[in-house]
Amino acid sequence: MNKSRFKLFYIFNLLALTIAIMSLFLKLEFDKTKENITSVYSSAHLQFVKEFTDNIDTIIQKSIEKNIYKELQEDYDLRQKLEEDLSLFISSTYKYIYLLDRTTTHNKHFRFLLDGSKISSDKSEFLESYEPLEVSQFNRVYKEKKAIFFEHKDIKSLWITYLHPLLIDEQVQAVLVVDFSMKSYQTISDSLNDFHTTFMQVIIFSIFLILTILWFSFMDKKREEAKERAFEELKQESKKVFMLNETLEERVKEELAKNREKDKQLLQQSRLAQMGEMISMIAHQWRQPLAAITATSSGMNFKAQRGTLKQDAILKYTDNITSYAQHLSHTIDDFRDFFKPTKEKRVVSYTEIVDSLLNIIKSSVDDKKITLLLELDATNKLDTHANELKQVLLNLVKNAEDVLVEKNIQEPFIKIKTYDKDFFSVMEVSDNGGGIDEKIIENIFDPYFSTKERKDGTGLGLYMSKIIINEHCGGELTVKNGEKGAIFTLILS
Amino acid sequence: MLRFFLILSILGYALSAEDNYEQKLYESILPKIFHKSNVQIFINNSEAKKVLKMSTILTIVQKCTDADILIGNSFTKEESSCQKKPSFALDYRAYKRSKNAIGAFYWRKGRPQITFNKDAFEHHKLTIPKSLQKYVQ
Repeated sequence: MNKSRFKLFYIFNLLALTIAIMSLFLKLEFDKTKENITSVYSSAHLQFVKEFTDNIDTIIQKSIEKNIYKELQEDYDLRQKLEEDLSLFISSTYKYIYLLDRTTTHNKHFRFLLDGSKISSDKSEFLESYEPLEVSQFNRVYKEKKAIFFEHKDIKSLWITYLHPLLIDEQVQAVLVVDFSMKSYQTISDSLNDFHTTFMQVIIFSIFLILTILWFSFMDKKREEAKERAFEELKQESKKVFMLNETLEERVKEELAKNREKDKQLLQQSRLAQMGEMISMIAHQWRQPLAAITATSSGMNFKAQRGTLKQDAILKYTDNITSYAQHLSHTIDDFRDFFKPTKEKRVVSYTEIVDSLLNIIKSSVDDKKITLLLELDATNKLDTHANELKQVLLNLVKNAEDVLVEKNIQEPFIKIKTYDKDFFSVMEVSDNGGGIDEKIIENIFDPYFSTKERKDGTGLGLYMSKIIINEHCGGELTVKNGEKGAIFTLILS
Repeated sequence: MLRFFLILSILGYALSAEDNYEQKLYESILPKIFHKSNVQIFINNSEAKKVLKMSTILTIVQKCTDADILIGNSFTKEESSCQKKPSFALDYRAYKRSKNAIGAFYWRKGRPQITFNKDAFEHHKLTIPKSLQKYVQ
């Protein structure tokens, strides 16, 4: 979490906490004050009631000599006068003021002696029986001989009944009852309660606010941590990428060097293979002249031993041997020229290439009874690496030858067909060897891929041929299966 | 506004409870006095009629002659034919005034008062149930 944000949350939390604590403190103070107000108000009210009931007591005591009940029963005017006096104290707050005494027969039944009420429907008659709900409180006054009060709530307001005993000769002769309303007290109390509720609401809201802020702070902290983690991970990844970039160039160089080395090795292997081929072909080419030289030499030797070797015969034999030796030498030249790598391009035709090839493969193909079919219709001249092209053609013919021998094909043939197609010169080398398995046809140009026996094939011939045609000569070398066998197509421009 | 509705509903509940209290009082007293599960009553007081109209034990009748007891303070000339029937007063003065009033129920100084007249009971050859004897003056 950043510093300013943390500071903000800290301030918010502190503020909410302060509000909550202050509200709590104010609430406690308020409770105390409320108690004081209600207590003082209530006491003041009761004190006032006590004072005026004392006054009424004095008024009644002044008018009565010994027995309240008897004297009131006997003197109607006195009753009227005292009731008038009681009515003077009646107001909306001091609703009922009346004097009761308890019947001697039943301590539950009381009777009215005086009633200050002026409402006729509620005005009691003299000696009218009365059974208060709070009988026990009334009897308590008789027993304790002192004033008491009790609260009774009704739905409209709080009411209090004040009971004042009228004592004559230390005996309770009657009880002065004052029912008074505490409505104003209730109003104050209600207002204070409202205030109290508001306090509670503020406290609850503050707590809720604190919890909300804490929750948000917590969530924000978690989010910030996750963000920091992600940022750290990103930093690490960036570092890795940077390191990778730093080493990438070196690695590319390394890989390039490796590839070059690999190519070099491949080329070397390919050359070795070609050399093997060349030696094999030279050996094949040399077999006949060598045999002829051997035969001539043996004939001369035989005639010399018998003494029949004449001068002219010697000349004839040596001429023959010279001719055979020259043939051998020409063969070496042909092979040397064929396999000599040339970096420069030269203008050449497909027919020249094929003719050159025939010099070195004719005897090998004839030996294996393979018919070589030629359809040389291409007339376009090619500006290309002729020797490399010859090597590719040799490779294709030798592969065909190997397949025909390996599969022991009846009436084997290899067909070399050339033709022009627009600006392109096309050469097709096909045979009747049965074609290439479709499963592997796509892989035959891959390096080290060979269908020959391990000792015969390196798996590099077709790979190198493809590279020579596609990359060195700028042409295209493809393969497909024909009706009788594989057809290799070489397109050059 | 909420406070107003709250007070109004409490007040309504309290008033209905008071009505209910009076109804229950009559329902507990009258069947015991007349030894009947359903007592026919004639009422000429609108407030009392309102209180007792929902009762299932007490049946309000239209003619006083059909009633077991009359409830009210004063009765008309037509109802004077029923003057021999027992009555139940709703005011202390009416109770005192009427010889036929076997009892009374009224409010005095905000407190409910119930009282029974032994002589009236005897006059109408009725007996005061034991549970109500404490209210006899």
